[in-house]
Amino acid sequence: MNVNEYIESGVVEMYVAGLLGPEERKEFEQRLLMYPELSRELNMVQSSLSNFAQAHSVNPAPALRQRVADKFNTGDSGTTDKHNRTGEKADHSLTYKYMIAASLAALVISTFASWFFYTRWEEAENRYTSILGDKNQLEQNYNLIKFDHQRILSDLLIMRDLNTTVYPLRHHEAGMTYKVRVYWNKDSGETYVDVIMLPDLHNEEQYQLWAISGDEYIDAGVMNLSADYGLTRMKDISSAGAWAITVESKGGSKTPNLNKVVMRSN
Amino acid sequence: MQSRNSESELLVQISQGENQAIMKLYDEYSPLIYGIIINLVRDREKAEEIFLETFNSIISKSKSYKSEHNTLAIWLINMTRQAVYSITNQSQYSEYLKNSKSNPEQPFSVIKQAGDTYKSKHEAVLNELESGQRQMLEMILFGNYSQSEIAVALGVPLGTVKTRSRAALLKFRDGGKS
Repeated sequence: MNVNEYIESGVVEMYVAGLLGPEERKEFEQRLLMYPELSRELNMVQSSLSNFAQAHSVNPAPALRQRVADKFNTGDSGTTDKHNRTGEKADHSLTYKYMIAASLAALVISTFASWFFYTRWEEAENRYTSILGDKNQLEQNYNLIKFDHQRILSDLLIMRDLNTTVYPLRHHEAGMTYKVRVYWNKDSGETYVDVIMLPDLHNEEQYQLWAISGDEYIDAGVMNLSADYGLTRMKDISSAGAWAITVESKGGSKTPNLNKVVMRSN
Repeated sequence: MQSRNSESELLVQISQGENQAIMKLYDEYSPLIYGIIINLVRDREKAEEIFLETFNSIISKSKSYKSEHNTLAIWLINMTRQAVYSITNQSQYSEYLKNSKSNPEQPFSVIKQAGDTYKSKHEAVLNELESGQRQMLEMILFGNYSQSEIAVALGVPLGTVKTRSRAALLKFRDGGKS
């Protein structure tokens, strides 16, 4: 390679001005080590161009030096900042103390208020509960009375019906009087019994009502003795001349046990 | 001009964040850097802002100087030129070139203002240059022009550019030997 031709191509100036690409640059730096002339030329161009540039030098304003110093130094101004910040911190911590004291006081007050109103609320709740209980009790009583009243009213309607015939059944035994009334409506066939007094039976026995038509005993149903008073509806009977009650085994019988007729109407 | 070793040393200290080294670089090279900037942008306020940014980018790239074959002055000149063009987002020199074409005798003038005390021993050499020579050196160093680009831009043969610019460079060499 002719070094002079290489130099004359202007490559040195371009290298100095940073105009070469990465590969040209690498090549130039390799040749720099091989050719002393190239190295000398580089030195010349470098010094000449920097001298040329120095000829254009201008002193910047002194204030610019301070701006540079401020930008890169953390000198006195930084320390002042720190002091200011500590002062602010002290102020803040005092403020925080007041805030903490105030919030503690608020906490105490609100805790007391909570307790006070909670007890008041609890009292009111208890009173409300007991009043609610009383109200329910009254409602129940009213319903019971209403139920009884309706039942008595309906019994009275049956008793007062002109088609209803009343058959009193009596029986005397060991100083006790057994009393039962049978109400029979001959138009509709509805039959009711009103147990006024009957002795309790064994568990496996039940009273059974029979309608007597001529010589025939017609089943009118078994009777459930209960604490309830008033009329109990039995089976409808189309014709009856008299009535009898027998003691039968539980569930009743199709034909009456005539040995155990407790009572019969006249 | 400092020796290559002490230049590297200074840049290593700067890359390690030593503030004294930063201010030393400023004191020695701010006229060179600022001179290029003010000549390119021609506005003092703008030049100062660009200077701060340029100086900042030089500091942040100080580590890369290790692998540089150029002298510190040349490296700084190249860094400055790149920074100005990237900050202003345009080639300021091409604008200057347009103006200088209408008035080719006006050189890339040094803006000397009242209070500027910088005296370069090379300044006198500028006056020895023929106007064409001076413009070629400006284009190479500040305008990022290759010789062939200069030939196209100025409308002269490439050979003429080579001989003229080389003659101009040789004039400055003597001054650089001190």
